[in-house]
Amino acid sequence: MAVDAFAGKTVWLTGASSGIGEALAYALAAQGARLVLSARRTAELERVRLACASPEQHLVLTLDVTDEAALPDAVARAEAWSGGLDCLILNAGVAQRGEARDTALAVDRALLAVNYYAPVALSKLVLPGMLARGHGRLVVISSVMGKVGMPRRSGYAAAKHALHGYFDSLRAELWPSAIGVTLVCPGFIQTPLPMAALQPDGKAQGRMDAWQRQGYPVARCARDILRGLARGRDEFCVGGKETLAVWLARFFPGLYRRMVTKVEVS
Amino acid sequence: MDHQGKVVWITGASSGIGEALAYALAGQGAQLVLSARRLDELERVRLACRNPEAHLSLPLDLADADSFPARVAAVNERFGRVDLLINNAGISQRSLARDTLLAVDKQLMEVNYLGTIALTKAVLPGMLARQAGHVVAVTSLVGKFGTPMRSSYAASKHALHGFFDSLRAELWRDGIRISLVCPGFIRTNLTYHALTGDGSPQNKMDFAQQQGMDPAECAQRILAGLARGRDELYVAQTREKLAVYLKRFLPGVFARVVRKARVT
Repeated sequence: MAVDAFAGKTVWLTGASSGIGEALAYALAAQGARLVLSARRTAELERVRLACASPEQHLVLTLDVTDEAALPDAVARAEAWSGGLDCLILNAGVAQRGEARDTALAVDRALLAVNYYAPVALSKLVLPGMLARGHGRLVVISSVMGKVGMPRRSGYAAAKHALHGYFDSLRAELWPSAIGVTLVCPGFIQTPLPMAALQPDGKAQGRMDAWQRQGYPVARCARDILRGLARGRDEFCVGGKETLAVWLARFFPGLYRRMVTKVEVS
Repeated sequence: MDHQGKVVWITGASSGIGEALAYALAGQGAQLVLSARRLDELERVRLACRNPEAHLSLPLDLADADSFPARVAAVNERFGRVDLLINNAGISQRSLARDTLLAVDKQLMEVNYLGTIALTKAVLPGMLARQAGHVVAVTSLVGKFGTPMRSSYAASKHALHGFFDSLRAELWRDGIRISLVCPGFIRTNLTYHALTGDGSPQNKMDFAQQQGMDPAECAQRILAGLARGRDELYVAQTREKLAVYLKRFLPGVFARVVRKARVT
């Protein structure tokens, strides 16, 4: 595996202003990648850009991924600036905290809009360029909850599961082109994800969870993700022992179903 | 019989698996609520059921979640409860992702996923009050793996697994059961109405669907699986079922097989 698998590559990263996206930006820049950094807050993106290796090599492209009308122009700008994207990392997402019985349908819809519709819409716009150039990689940051369900995460798990259905199908459709599709399933990573997690009424939780605070370090998460991508893997988990849930559900689904009912979830 | 006197609400009851489930459950003595968009088709099914007067035809459009509270009220007025909700309605897809309009991707999600969970959430308070009930989601084998030409359909069915697996874990203390039923190719009109990339229906039946399982056999197998208390059930021919296990245990091999699979 080349340490600098991303040297000279252009990578568009959504959700780049914090958490896993921010850590990926630093790790990719350190390998010599040229980055397009997208998120909603320009000031935060500038902060990340300036903290990257070779800040002048990177572009800040402020974008709300749920603003469908803005996507075609953003794609055109990213393509024009980069001269052709090598990799799109669909990392932006929003979490959930609350039982299904209390959760308004509007919240399920919002979880779907950010976590599922936005990656689908953006990948659809980026694909024609990748197909024309004959190479490229779509990287989807899903979640352990894209593989297993869990209490208080019904709408989030649904949206993340949906990513697997869509991008697994897309990967099969793109064969035999050289365009790759990778699904990454992080577990509990030390990020501010729970701060913005949607509660049953649609309001942000506004505080961290114990699990997340004690989670897997975000820089190690980014390092592991780049390692998996360099190996060309289709799907892999990143995190601590919580990722064993995926293994357990795969080989002993009945046991997992019994265990998950008893987990104390935030 | 198993469902004697039980109140069973079936969506997508006007054709295919839903219609076959209606006949099978009516044969077991259930009281049915039959829902789909077309009242005349529901009435045809109701009158073909055993004890037609015991059942209610209740038109319902899964894309219109605002109408669900009134529908649930109508069911409660007639029967006082729902023992078993079978979320069976859904639409399919036949198009490459790159040729599919985002509006079509959304329509598949709105109907198959959001419509289903919205109806479930509307029925749930009654079940929680009685601390009893059973919710079934009829998904698809494509809820367990993706295949070409089904990107958004697979997404909507995967989403149901994520939602209902989570819901099951939330509801176990409340005595409410959740089952996911994954049919393979069944000889129904599903492919006839499948959406193409621009949202228009395919208007033909696929070869694979023509060779599929008879809906009556599918319904019998579903009821037998539910009677055995299964949380998740695959109703398909052996070769298709093997695909589920191949994806689960040898995903790399599955990925190489599925890209060449005949899926229409």
